[in-house]
Amino acid sequence: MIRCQDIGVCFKDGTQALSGLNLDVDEHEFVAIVGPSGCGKSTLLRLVAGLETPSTGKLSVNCDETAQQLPSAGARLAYVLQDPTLLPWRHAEANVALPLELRGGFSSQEVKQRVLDALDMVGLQGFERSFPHQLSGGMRMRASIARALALSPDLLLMDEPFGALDELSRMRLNEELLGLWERDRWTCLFVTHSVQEAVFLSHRVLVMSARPGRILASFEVPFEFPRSPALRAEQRFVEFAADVSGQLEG
Amino acid sequence: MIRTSIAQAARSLAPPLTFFLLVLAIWHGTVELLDIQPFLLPGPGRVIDAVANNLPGLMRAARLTAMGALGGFLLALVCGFTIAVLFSQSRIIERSLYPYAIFLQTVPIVAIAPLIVIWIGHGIYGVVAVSFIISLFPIVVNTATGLTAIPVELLELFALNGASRWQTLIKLRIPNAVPSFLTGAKISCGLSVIGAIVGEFFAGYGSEDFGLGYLIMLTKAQTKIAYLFATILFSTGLGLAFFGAVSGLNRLILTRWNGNR
Repeated sequence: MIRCQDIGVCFKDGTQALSGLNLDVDEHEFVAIVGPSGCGKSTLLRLVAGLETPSTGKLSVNCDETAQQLPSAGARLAYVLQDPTLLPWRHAEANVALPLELRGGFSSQEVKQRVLDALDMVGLQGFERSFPHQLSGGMRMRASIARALALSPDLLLMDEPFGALDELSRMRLNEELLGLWERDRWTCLFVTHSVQEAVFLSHRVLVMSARPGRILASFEVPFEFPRSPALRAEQRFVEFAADVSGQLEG
Repeated sequence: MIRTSIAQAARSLAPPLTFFLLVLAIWHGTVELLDIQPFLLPGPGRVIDAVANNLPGLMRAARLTAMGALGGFLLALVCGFTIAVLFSQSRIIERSLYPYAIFLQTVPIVAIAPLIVIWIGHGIYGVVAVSFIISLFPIVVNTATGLTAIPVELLELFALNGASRWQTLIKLRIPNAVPSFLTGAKISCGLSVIGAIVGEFFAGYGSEDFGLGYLIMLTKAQTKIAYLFATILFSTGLGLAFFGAVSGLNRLILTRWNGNR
């Protein structure tokens, strides 16, 4: 689904954000990326989203069966940031409907159905008419995820989506996100600071080097799906997370 | 609930009200003790008399001035908004005109009011024109800021979903500009009343039908100082009424818009 070959990104101010980065992501794969601050994790996601262009190397992203190159109107790609980026003047339902409105091609009935389904999936039923300022941080994040899911994305890019939340909300949302993934199995690139989160969610954890970023190590996560919250307390989980952390520090 | 809100209102109203009464007392006392001539400074009693004796005339004048100010203000809202949208849509237009919009704000409009009257003519149109020009720029500048100061993440959200320029304008820029548009309106509504009164100084309607600005000039010429004070009082009241109405509307819209203020 995603293929990066020897990608380098150099910003206008001369900063080398990424260099010699190789990455292949299969369809339906959940890949987590961890790395030190400022290592270019976000740049990598922006690159895949088409918000940055590579200075060197080749990037291809296929988002549906017609194999379109991004960014294109048909590509079902959704991007979730740490900041929920909801429009303050729209209530939850209208916020979730926004990408469908902008892309067009959905009947108003279909929009309504998709939006209500998505809000339902993230547990926001009953808050359709609430404005962002009336929602808690966790609920705003859920609305942001619902907005992504309403598109039925083929590829979901998540950039530290739960970074601003407290530990408890974060763990709950991790579990819910896994449930949603098991339902629809979108391909996911998930950037996080938390090794625990990365291991708990993904098939594969990539460790990136400090700037200029490239992939230092790749860990196949050996735990089968569906995963239960109890997994986090198991010896093998703790040991595996420690292995990944070791690579991160070194 | 109601009792506490009345108590709250009383608590917040008491200090300024006390001060007001104090000022009235000092005013009255000074005029009486120093035996100041009424044509220099009439006491509060005389001003109240003047209001009472000329109430129909004052009300008619205030209505006419209010119409001129309202006309100028509404025109400024529509034109200011349109100009700001043009600025936001074209870098070239913005780059070449924005400095002048700022520059024109510093030109004392009062100084060019006579010119406007020469061009537009006497009567309501001249008054509306002066009021319009004085209240235009705060709306342009504030709205333009709101239209262009958009968080980058939101612009990218729109870009990722293939939003057209038009969609971005209608669904992102304009809604984002609502609070700053209202801030501009709040500044401008007071200015529009000033503009209407200044406009009437130069473009007054004549002795048949006149506004507060004309009345100020007339009472001054006839040294009816208590009547002049009454007119000033009405002018201030008109400005306050405008500001109060727009502020109230502002608060109403903003709480629905983003929940703050």
